[in-house]
Amino acid sequence: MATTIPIGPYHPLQEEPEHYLLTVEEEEVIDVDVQIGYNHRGIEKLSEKKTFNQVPFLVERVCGICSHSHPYAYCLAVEDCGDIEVPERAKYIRTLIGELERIHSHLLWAGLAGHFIGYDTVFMWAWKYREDVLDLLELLTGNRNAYAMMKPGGVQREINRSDLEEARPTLETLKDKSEMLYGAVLDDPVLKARLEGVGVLPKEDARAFGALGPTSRASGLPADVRADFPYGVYDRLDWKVITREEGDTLARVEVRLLETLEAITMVEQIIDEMPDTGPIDSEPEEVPPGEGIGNYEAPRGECFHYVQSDGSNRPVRHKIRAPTFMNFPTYRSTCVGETVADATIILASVDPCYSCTERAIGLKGREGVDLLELSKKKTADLKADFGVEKSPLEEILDE
Amino acid sequence: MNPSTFKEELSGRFGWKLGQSQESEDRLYLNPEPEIFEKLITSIYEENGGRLATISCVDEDSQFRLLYHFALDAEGFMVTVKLPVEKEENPSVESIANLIPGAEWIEREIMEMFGIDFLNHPAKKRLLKAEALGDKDFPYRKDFDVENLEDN
Repeated sequence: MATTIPIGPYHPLQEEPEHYLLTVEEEEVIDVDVQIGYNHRGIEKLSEKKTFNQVPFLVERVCGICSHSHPYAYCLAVEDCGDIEVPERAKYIRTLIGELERIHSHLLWAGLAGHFIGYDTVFMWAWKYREDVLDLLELLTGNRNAYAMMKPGGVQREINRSDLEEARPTLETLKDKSEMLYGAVLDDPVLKARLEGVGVLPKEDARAFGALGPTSRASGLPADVRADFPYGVYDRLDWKVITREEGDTLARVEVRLLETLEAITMVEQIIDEMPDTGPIDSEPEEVPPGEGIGNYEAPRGECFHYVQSDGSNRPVRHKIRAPTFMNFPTYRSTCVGETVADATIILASVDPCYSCTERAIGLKGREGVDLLELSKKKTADLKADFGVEKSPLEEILDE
Repeated sequence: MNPSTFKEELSGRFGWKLGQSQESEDRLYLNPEPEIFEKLITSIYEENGGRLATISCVDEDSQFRLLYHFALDAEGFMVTVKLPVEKEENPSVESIANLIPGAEWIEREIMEMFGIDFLNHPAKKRLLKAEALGDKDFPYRKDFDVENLEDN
């Protein structure tokens, strides 16, 4: 007999509310539905009431984690609409902040993913080093989040050479630790058993749902806005697009960890190559009538903005599409047929707002057992089966 | 392939019905005759490997306009297909969610925010709009007055 398990939508600890409905038959998930909208603030409508230079501050509030991605995509749209040039130095600064944001976002996700499967060591470890990235962002922009760096035609503020040089030691440490984490994840038999072959998103489904970012790249689609529609200074940096063919949760973990490493080397290259002098803003006077598209590779995938101008100082229409909007519906392909204990990590593996997935309501006939506990128990059982007392990461940390 | 060779390829197939177009280095905007719309979308999605980025809806004075944004990732340019929708009591247009599953949520959002009905849509359910807003309140329409919104 089928049972419906509601997850969410509200809990005092949740950063964002959303409501999952898992329909299960015994242990197997047979259907998933997601209800969203609890957080809808009508930003597209609000944007029509702001001037072109005010909108970046508004869209920065679309998402706290991607607070550079939305203003960047918006500025690209306005610059596309008005054929506005961006000075070299501004492009470097924009790309630098963008890649630092990717590092902190991927580390945040890696920590939470560890937490969901009962590896709290990974959680504490990843967040410890994420903190250093936030400190770097504070040093460079003045803010740990919501950096307020973007404006159409350039950036708001300078970044000093001395601050850039100060960032290098942190990046070195971060690189070592990220490599260690990557190795530890791949060496761990229990993690492999939990992640490998779980929640497979086939290539054709990834394309049909229009999946984006690490979710689609883990399913063998090489699309990456940074490579396909180069903006900023990506065309002159030495980096590669990370893809995996497997499409399972392990592949999505691998893609994100390798992208973190790529991002660190990109930040180092930018510090090496960034010119120390030159304008940071082309100070556009007006946006002519027309329309423009801005697409930006946010940590979760392509962030899409469309702006229409009638020649006044405000956008007539500003359409925003965040990557999770396209990645959400892939649950229908990845969760169905899997066990309830795995649903937590599968739902989390596209990197949506995950906090709600752990605030699950007790299952019928399993009073007091929530999904997170189920997931953690599965890992503990596997550890016992494999005879693993400590994970490779825990061993490294003990030394 | 670039926007201008792609447009030539399409005009070879659809002739004058492809309508007016604007192009730049990495953008192509098309205004096809509504009768070839479905064929055009199908061919961009299936034959050219276009990825549906999203659909934007614009409330113009006399009509709505739907903008179907396709990304041709491998070629590095965007194709936007525009489709006008008449402003009448119940504006409607054919859904493409049966062809492209990724369009399902996008169309649900437009249904709620602009009140455009997508015919033959597989799952017409509320997605984003607050329960407090009535079925006839469409917040993203230009004539929707936020300031004078009555509490209900």
